[in-house]
Amino acid sequence: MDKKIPVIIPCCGIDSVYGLMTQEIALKVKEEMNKQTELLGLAYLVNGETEAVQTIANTPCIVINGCNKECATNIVDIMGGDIDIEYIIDRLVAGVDTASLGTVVRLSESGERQVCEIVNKLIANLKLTEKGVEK
Amino acid sequence: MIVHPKTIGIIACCGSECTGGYISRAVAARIVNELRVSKVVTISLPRLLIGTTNEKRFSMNHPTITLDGCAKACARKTVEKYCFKPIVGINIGDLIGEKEVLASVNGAHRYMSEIDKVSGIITHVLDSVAAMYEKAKAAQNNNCGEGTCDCGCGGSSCGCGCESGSKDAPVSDQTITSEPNRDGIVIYTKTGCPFCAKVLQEYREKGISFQEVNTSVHAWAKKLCIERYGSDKVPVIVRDGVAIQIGDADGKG
Repeated sequence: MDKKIPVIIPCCGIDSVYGLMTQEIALKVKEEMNKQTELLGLAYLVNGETEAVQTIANTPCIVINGCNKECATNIVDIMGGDIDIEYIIDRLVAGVDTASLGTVVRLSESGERQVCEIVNKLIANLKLTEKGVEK
Repeated sequence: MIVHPKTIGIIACCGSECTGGYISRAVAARIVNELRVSKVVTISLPRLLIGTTNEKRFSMNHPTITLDGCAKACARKTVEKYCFKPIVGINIGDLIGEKEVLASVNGAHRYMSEIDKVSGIITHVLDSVAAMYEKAKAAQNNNCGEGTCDCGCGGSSCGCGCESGSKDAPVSDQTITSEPNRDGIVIYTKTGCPFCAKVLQEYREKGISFQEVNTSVHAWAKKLCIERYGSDKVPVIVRDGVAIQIGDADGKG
């Protein structure tokens, strides 16, 4: 059976800095893991487009939520996707002052640093999962 | 009684897999948080499907403009599907090029010039829509003769009949009552038209002087565009009485 490339689905929420962080994380992971992951816009899934639903069917989904509302997770669930890895940014940066991360529009240096840390963590996690699958 | 909205809504697709989606998020976030704070509100698209009752009614409570990164138009379709039809649906591909918006996002490139350009156009569209609602509100409260007119004329029986709308309406809209002087450039536009906003921005950037006439405000202008220039679409750009362009540079309108 063909091994499917994981699909990264960030929430890209527009109401907090966490949403921006999810977008930056997804883009950086995609860049670092060139051709080993795919990005899928949540809007495409929300709209229930057949092509989007087929993309996540039987495919490992990496879901990055900004906050506890977990929009990305809920939408992937509703559309029948299998979630392999799920991140919630505001839990990952718990204890860090939200204002220090930047704004909805742009990240601060501290925000960028947090993004890089989460990217490294996610890539390590992905490689681990990959090894698990290979075994 | 008609209820007039206090705020306009904007919903962006925020798609991260292509440049257009990336720009859509950046533009909407910038407008709501920096350019039109407290006048424009937003919500994340998934909330229309899985949000609270109030969130699901977003476009019923706020006349909404959707901002899509590409022709898939996920934001517009989703708003139409789950809530109330948006008043304007804008595809960023129509503003900066369909090919450009479909390119993958380059993490190192921040697309600042594209974001600036699209922000300017969308802000113009939002302002024209807001002015339209102001005008409707003023017309509803038209008591010019009694000194309580809401149109911005100060209730001074100025004879405006409140047709010109609020004091925030563009100067051109307040003063034109018939076809402008045939010399020079006149651009006929429509409220909420992104192609018109794009053309106006291009002319301003080039420093070309022109007069704008909004066909949504002036029925005579709409009639003129159809009868004299044979166009029911805008923008119509007229130089010295001759139509030199209909639609934007690609003919879209």
